[in-house]
Amino acid sequence: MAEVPAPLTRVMEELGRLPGIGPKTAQRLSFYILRTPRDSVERLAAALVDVKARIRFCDECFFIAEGERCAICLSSRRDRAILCVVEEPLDVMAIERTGEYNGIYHVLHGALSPIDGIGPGELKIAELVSRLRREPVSEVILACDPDMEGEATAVYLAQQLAPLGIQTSRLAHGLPVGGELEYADELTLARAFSGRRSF
Amino acid sequence: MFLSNVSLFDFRNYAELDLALERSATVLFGGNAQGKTNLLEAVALSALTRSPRTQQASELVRFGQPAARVTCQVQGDAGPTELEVRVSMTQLPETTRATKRFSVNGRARPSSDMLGTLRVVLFWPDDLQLIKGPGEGRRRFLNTLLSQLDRSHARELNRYQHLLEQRNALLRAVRDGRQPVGDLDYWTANLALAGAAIMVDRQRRLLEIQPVAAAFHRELTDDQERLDLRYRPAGARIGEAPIELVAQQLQAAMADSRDEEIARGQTAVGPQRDDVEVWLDDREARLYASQGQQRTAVLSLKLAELHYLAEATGEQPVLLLDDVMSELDPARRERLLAALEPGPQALITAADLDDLPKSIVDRAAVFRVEGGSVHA
Ligand SMILES: Nc1ncnc2c1ncn2[C@@H]1O[C@H](COP(=O)(O)OP(=O)(O)O)[C@@H](O)[C@H]1O
Ligand SMILES: [Mg+2]
Ligand SMILES: [Zn+2]
Repeated sequence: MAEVPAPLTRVMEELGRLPGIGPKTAQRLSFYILRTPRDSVERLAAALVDVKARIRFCDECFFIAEGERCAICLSSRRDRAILCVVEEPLDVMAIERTGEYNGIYHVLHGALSPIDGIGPGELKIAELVSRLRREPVSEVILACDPDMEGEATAVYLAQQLAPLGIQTSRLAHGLPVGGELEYADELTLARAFSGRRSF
Repeated sequence: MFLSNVSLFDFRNYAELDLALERSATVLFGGNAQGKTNLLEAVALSALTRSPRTQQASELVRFGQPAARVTCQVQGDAGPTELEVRVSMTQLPETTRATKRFSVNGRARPSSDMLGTLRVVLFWPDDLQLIKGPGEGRRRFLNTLLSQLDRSHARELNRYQHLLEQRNALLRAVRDGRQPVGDLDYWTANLALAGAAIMVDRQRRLLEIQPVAAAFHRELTDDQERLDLRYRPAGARIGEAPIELVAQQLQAAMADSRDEEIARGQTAVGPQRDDVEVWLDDREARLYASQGQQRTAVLSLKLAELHYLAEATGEQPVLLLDDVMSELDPARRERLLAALEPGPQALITAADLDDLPKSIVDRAAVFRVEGGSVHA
């Protein structure tokens, strides 16, 4: 049997490292790329390089940023006494669209999910705790998704934050159970913000 | 309520089928491997959101096809409802995984919203193992019945299953030193609560079903044999206990077996380990009943399921009888037929029309099933 040429093996290996992509899928995607016209492959490669060069995560809150700090952390108009904890950067965008919230954020980059091998160490939880020790935050809103993993994360966070003596509330009111924050419509989300309950 | 139409697309060996059904009995006959059971399976899938035959949804899609569809039209007091299940192979042709999507009247819905519109009672050759077979079959009997009575029970079962998988994954992570033991607390507490809710439901329903099953059994045995159902919840004593108390018992049982749970990476107690013991005259039927006694007990349970579902909901469920007439002796067959008399809608399969009592064949709509198509 003929050897697989090195450049092709390399693509397969790299693609195989992506989450949710096993060796079989990596092979198939690699051959798809081989069959694709050169200019679309170049556009894909350029987009990957470009996003990595220009977009990163904020050093403070882990939302997307073009420099060390994101636009929200840099803004002088935000209320730094209120901090909202979310699972994903897309959740920040959904909340921003409501126009109901003027505090700052902390993005965990996931939720506790043993099935997926995600424990507290895989999330930006230690960073949150040290940030709250450092900064003059007086209220934390836990806006994890209203599903079991989000609930587990919120309970875990509430335990971790209790010794800090900061007022903590859970965003849940009106959100569909089992839903994801990102898909909640703006009105529901806005109502959820005004009706948050304390832990 | 009755099922007025079944339509299939690339489901099992059916490329396409559109079948109008009568309010009373429908007989489907034909040789082996022609698609009789497949058709009943499609109806059960729409009613219960899962196949009674397989856990692997991919098996439902016709060989080589990307997706299957089952649509059932149900005529109820409040008008017609359309239940639809779509099974799609996950993109790549080699994979054997598939996802199920549900819709009610054309709108996407979570699986639990499908339940309770089309209620069914299945009686399949596999059910003859209900007494002797593993506890899984008896748990499925309970789950099917309780979910059809109450959608929130179906939701609770789904939630429990999800929490159980998370907790088992965490037990393995603890075993392998990837997470501290303390991280179990949240999942343990919530799993115990969800499990307790299911157990309390099971206990309550079993107490109501027990006398119904016992009455059928007395009748079937000419007062010779007494049938008793005994619920054996795994890790809790139920009695009159409220959910919180049962949850505490479950949590305590998990704490007691924590080392074992961690070593095996599996939750040791909870509804996934429950059983229902069937006793005949103070002997456990699983251990001591003869083949004939077991068949009678199964028939008592099935008749009780049918009767209880009708009483509790005020509507006759649809009876799906797959090849069982030929498995029953004339006396038991007569009793099953009597249950059909007041008239739940029934779909009945048989290899040969001679396997069925003439009284049924005469008043039923009769179809021949052949190679994935159905002829009048
Ligand atoms: N996914 C599938 N695609 C095509 N044919 C299938 C599929 N699953 C099962 N079959 C076929 O269906 C037939 C069995 O149908 P079944 O309804 O069980 O038969 P019976 O009429 O004896 O009850 C077999 O020939 C089997 O190969
Ligand atoms: Mg069959
Ligand atoms: Zn920031």
